[in-house]
Amino acid sequence: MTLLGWLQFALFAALVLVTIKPLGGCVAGIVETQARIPGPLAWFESQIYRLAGIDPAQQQTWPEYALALMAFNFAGMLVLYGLQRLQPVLPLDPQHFGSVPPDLALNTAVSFATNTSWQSYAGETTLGYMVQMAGITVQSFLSAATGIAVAIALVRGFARRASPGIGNFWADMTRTTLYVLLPVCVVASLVMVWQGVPQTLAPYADATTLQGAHQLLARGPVASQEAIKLLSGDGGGFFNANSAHPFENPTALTGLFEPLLILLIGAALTNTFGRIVGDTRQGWALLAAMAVLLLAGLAVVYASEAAPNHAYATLQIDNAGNMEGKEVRFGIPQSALFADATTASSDGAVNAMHDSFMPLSGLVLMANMMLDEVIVGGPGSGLFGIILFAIVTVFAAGLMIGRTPEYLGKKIEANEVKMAMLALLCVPAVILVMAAAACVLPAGVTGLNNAGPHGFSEILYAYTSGAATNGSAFAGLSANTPFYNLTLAAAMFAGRFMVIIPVLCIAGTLAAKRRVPVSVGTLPTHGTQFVTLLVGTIVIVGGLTFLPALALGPVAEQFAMLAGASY
Amino acid sequence: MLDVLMIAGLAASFAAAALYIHACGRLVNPAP
Repeated sequence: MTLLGWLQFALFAALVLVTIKPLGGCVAGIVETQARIPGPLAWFESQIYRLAGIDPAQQQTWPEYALALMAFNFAGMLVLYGLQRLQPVLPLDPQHFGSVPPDLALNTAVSFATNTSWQSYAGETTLGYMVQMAGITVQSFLSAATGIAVAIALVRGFARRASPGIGNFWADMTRTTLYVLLPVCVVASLVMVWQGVPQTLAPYADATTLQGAHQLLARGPVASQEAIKLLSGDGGGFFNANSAHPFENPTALTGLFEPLLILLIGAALTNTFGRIVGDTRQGWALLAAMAVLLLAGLAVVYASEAAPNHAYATLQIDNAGNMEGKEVRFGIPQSALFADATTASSDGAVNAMHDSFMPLSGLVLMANMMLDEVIVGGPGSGLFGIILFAIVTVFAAGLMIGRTPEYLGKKIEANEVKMAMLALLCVPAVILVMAAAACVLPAGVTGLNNAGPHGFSEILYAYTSGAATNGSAFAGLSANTPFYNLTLAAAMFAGRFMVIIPVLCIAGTLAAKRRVPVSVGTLPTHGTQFVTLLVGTIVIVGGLTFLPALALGPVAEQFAMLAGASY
Repeated sequence: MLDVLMIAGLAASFAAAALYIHACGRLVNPAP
């Protein structure tokens, strides 16, 4: 580890902190319709509602909100599936890639509509520009807006009193996309272009190398996809190498800018939460819990990667850390930072091969995802994920002191706890059951490229990434098979919607309640005591659920490595 | 044929999700 590495982390943390208040306030103003929208934009928004026959002021109950969300996402999946299958007849496919196979098309459609971006394909050899732009990029916007809408609906549940409605899904989606995601992405795309990321509809370039050989250089409308890829928590790259590719992440500046975009909205939403519930300290408390977990993970990954590699101990080579699978231009600190941020945030973009990280680092990356997107998380999903844990925390604290638990002036009763547990248990159930099945079924095992605990980690990581809607890949697993395409699609679907639906149900039950006044028996939820309890609850629930699986994978591999065995 | 199967699978998943919404509703607000 070096001082320069830690200074990079400090600079990154400062940049994230600086953006939280302005962006959080901006989002709060937009979703609560208090922000002043310039005339032409407001006119454009009103025309969308008029064409779609929507009354944005009409309040929806939670089942209405959930059904609208499901219908919208169903339509999105169908469109993306259709675009991939009809690719040969679509324009803007200069490389003539042909139709995407049905199982892969389904996997990709579910992946991007659920904000996962698991990619069983290589973008530059599978998808033309039309599918990349009208399919992948559009779904990145819409899936992020969906997550933010759900989080805002839940926050309204706390803020409203005896209200049957939790907002209007169509209005939340429209305003979030138009006034939050699009403006930030326009600026971020221009920064990308400035730094050298291609943005063109020209065919791939035929370059002649110094030796006189010909090389086909893939390019396309990369910058516009790159911005929303990072901002949306989607993470699906234009190229197979994702942010390790020099056309996606060309400079040291983009190396710092990209993880910032990954955490930008997730971190700012904690401030939005505080503003809407009328106490910004509540948002800072959630952010503090996220920061503790994020920094702890980063410290372990950096220390693990920077330590000498045991496998090279007897060789006469420079052994100043694990550089296998990392871009030399990023080095260990930026690779560790990116890996920790992308798995904590549910983004899933990568700038290094996670498969080549040390076992202890692999454990942290998996644990980040297994904790259910609560460490900043994706846009919206991080906020509603940590609020679920906050509900469980106040419930546990209420049991300890013998009082009915309250959170932000709302009594937390059986209904909220039932729904919170349903949401929190669904992801572990999907991960563990599906990973176990893949480990014993021939169709699952044939995809493995490594034996022993490392092979198990590859399967566990794949289902963790799918069900937690992260999308990053451990690599080493040949996942483009009907078995993995279909089972991972099922994991992504369940991991997304079996969480969102109970969250909306909690929003509905909370919105219908009256606020109770603060009393001496109320547990303060803005101080270090609550942050400690919250972190403890997250770690214990995550740890108890996944410890046996992690012991079979990265923990066993770490001990085997120390004993001189590698896989 | 495979396209029909894939889309039918997708539709069935959303139908299951709609039932899940209904089940959650019943869980928090049991019918009298």
